[in-house]
Amino acid sequence: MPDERKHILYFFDEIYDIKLIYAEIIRGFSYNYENEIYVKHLTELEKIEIIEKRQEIYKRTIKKGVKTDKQAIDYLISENLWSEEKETEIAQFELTIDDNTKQANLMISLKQKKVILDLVAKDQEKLNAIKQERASLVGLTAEKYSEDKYINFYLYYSFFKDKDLKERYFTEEDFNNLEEDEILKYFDIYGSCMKNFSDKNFKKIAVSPFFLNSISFAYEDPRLFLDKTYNSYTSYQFELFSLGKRNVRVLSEATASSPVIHSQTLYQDLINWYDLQNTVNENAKKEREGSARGSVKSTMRSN
Amino acid sequence: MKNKYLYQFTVPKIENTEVQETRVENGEEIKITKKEKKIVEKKFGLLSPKRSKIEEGEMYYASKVSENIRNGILPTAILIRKFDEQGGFLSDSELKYQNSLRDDSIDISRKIQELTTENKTIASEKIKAENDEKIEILIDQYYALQEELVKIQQTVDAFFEQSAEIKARNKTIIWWILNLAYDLNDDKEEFFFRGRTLEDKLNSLDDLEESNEEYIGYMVKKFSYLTSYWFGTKINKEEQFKEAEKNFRLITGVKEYDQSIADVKDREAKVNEETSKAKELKAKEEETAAAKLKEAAGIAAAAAVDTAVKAKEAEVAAAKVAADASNKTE
Repeated sequence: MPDERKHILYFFDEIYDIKLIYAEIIRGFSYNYENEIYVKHLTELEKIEIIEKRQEIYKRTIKKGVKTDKQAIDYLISENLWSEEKETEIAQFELTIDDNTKQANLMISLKQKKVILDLVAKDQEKLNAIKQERASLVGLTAEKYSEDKYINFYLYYSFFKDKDLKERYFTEEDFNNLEEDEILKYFDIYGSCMKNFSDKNFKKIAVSPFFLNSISFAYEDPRLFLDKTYNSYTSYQFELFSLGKRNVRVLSEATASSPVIHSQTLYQDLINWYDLQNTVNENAKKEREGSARGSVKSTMRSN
Repeated sequence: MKNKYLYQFTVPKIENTEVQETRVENGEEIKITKKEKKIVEKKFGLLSPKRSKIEEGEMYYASKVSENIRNGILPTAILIRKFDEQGGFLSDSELKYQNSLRDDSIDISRKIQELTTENKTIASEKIKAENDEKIEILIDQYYALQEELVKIQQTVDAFFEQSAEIKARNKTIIWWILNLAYDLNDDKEEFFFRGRTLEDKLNSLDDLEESNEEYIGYMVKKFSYLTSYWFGTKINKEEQFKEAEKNFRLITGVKEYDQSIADVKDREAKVNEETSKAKELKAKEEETAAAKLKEAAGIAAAAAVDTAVKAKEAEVAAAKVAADASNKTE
């Protein structure tokens, strides 16, 4: 038992690391000391710029005569290697997984939630298998090629030499001349810089009092949080702001008293409390809306 | 700075060179020009492709697969189904072996990853060095497994020679040969196959092949072999290419060319040996003659000393005789 306790990280063990991650999100970039690279956190608009690259590659690939996904599937169906039924099966799995995930998130009972999430995991496994089978038959298509290639542009658009993020790390020529192992190396750097920005860490920041305080001031106006409009927010800032807003709302609407943070509080305890309260609020809201809709219907019927 | 070339290698070329020889006949010096076969090592390289080139190559492959399917050539998936209907193309034990190789390969790759990660955090230089050694061994094992997998793949590929993918792959390998082969002779670095477009380069390849020169054929085979190997295994280290090069002699015609090179080399060695023997003999003769001359000079010198001594003695005796005669007269 004492050994197990050694590995437990309580709220106060993690808070400083969480604050550092928060600071990095607010700053809008990460830094790789070893290679002296500033890795910019991109805004949604900047990500769209990269998607433009994907579209350019896609068009170029089509022009070269590479088959599209649809052409490949049509061909496979015509050769009886694939079927419309299997395509429908994929769509059904996707729908079920999405529905059940949403439903699980609204579950108050953790036990019930687990049952549903286990079902989701099983469906996901089946979906992956069927998609894998399709991919092996379809082969290289214009979509797959452009998906594989445009990702590289994340390096070009994210890497900078200075903290003002003005001077790109790669010139266009340098970028074109990168070798495959160099690309892998830079993706390693990118990955190591971004590894802290997980859903789990976002949730941890979003339940931290230091963060919730600043969000509560800027609840109505994002400019009060980071002195800029939504469009200028990096994706991370946007995600954090949204989560923060949700939790501030949860706090204001909660019927239960907010959790007290003591020496043995876990971050997960706080996350669970906010998730649970949010579910309760959402369910209550749905119930209210449902009864309201019901009354409109009955009013209409009676008319 | 990354290496510009994946690999550099030499190809021996038999060249007819003119050699001048000087002979003395009837006391006259005569200069003779002879034609001799000589081995000249020509240097070549495989360019290390950059990101944009790799993308171009991949796109070329994808477009060729699509083109083949459009032209009615069956893709691998359909051929697999046909072979399956006929009982499959690898036996159960072969499949098991292939799977075990794949599992081992994944296992080794994971171990390499673990050791590399461990080395990033470890402080002890000794353990780091030990880990590096282990990583080296594992990398060797990994490539050995990959090579074995490639061999199996080649057996399987034989079933699919006519598939849309393999036909496209073969065309792509030619595309890579034309785009990676570099000539590094006469202080130059230029594409071996001339021309800007693929069409131009293909024409250049045709022209070279039409020359029917054994050396050209050999070299094109070498470029093809190394490029195909690289394309199939993605090796990028000099020692890996060197290892791969060992099997080049298994390609048709290579052994014969190597033999003709060995013959010329043998002849060259023989001539060199004879020349050096002649030189040695000449030197020995000269040495003997010099020794004889020296000996003769010594004898002559001794004789001269003897003569001088005798002359002096005669002079002294003559002087004595003269003195005696004078005394007698007085």
